[in-house]
Amino acid sequence: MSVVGREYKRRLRFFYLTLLFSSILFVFTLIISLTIGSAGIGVEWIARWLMFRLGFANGNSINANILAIVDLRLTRTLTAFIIGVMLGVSGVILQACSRNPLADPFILGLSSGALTFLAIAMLISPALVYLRPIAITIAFIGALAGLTLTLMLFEATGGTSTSLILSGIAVSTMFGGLSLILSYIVYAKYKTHIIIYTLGSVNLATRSDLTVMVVVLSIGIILALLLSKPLNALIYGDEYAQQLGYSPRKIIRYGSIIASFLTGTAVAFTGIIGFIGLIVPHITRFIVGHDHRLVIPASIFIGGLILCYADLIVRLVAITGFGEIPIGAITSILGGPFLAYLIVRNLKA
Amino acid sequence: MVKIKVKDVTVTYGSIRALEDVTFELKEGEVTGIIGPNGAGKTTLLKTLARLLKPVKGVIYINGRNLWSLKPSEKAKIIAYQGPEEPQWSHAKVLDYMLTARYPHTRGFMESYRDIEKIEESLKIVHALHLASRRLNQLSSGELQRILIARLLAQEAKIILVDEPTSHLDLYYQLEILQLLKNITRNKRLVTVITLHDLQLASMYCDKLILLNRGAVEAIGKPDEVLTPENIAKTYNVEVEVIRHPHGRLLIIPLKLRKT
Repeated sequence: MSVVGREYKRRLRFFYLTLLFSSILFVFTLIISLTIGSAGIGVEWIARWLMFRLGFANGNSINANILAIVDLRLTRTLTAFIIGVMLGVSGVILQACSRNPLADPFILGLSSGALTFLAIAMLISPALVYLRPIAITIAFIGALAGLTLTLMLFEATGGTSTSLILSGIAVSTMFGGLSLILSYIVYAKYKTHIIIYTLGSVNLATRSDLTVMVVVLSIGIILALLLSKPLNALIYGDEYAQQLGYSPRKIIRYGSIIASFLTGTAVAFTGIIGFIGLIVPHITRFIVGHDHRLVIPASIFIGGLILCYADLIVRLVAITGFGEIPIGAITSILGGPFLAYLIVRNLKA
Repeated sequence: MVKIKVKDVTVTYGSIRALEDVTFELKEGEVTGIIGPNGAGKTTLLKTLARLLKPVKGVIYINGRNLWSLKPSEKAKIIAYQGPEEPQWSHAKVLDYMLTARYPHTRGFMESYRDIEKIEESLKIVHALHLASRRLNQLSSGELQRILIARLLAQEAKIILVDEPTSHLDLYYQLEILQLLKNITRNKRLVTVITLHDLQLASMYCDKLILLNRGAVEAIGKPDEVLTPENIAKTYNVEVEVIRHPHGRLLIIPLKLRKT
């Protein structure tokens, strides 16, 4: 066996082990998250609930209240997982396209762009936002608008790594303020809390929303995987990708569309949850390396699990009687210091 | 047989003419050096051969086929280009980088056995097999340059274009890299084109030289035909003495700046 062949096989083996380990962790996390909440439910009841749902037991074996609570928690946990994946995969694509380790859907203005467009749509007619496919489309266009604006500013400012982040901050701050004002107008007009969107909550989605999210996510992941080889070429330089027969402009365009589609959908269902897209690519690359054919599948688990645990923190805080804090606040507390660490590491080097 | 025919090629940057009516032919098994003073169009010519720049006039034929009529993936199998920039995203490992060089050939989503074998062979040729699992940013300049050449080999292109392969290298590595390029060009019957600043090195390792002056070909031919005191004085504005060493090598000794 050759040296390169051994290294290649070793890497793939480690990748499969990572997937195996994270799926086990996922099942474990799912069970824990079903038991935790304002009403503590034992694992034994979770088992009974599972038997009932799988059709192995009849309705006498389980209390109707517990059934409803576990159902709700399942929806919530799966929502957290899926949104985590969407934001994580978006982050992976954005960091590769920009070759910038600080890129993230929140920092580059995608999230607040999507929210602003949703708020405008809501002012035109609330029905637009309640029809999920329409809401997703509007949020997608908003995210794309935010990213495009950032990229235009980035081009105009000379195209350095720092100017990308500063351009993103300018755009996301602007859209952030705009969406906040709009949310107050929406509240005054319809007495509806779109404001909760500004800091995100995985509590808003329903079971039927889950189906839509799974469809969007599947499409997004397939497209991202198709782009993984071009991304692998692009990260070493535009000319390098070009001499391999790729068009850097096309890769960036497709990448922007996929990231906006995923981030827009995430915002349409749960509002703005920042920093997941920043943290997930770093952790994933730390574990599986820099081949996007491996990074994208692995980031599914990493992204999903991180947001599941952020949601668990929200619920644990809720138990203590402080009420339901937004999950976006938790991810900001975790992500802020991480961003600070990345800035120090990158600017020092 | 690989043959490149460049005919009346003119390249412009906006209103500036970077190359004007450049015509020459290259054949396999030879290392061709593009020389000339700063701004003469060395890099522009190399990029035009790599299809990174499109001529406004003239044609480049690869084995009789117009370079611009090839599909991008087809082109990538025939021409490999290495610019003066180091690969970005330097946290990646040498293996990650090498795998991407096989993409024009890799049919499926993952690499075939042949792709892996080819990478192994390429790293072996440049004596860098032990670097496969290193990160790019952990390599010395000499090691990195060897990896860049291994990448060109792994891409299995018949035409290899390298911009300044010896910059940032000390004397030992300058000679090592040029010798390496010369050997693979001979053994694999490649068409290799490099740009060089050092005339001494150019005379030692190139089979053919193209001397550019303000975007036009001033002289073309064997090193001792091109590197004459007249040609160098005219293009570089430096008066030199060219001595033929008893061992057959040319010695180029700068004397003074020419009055302009």
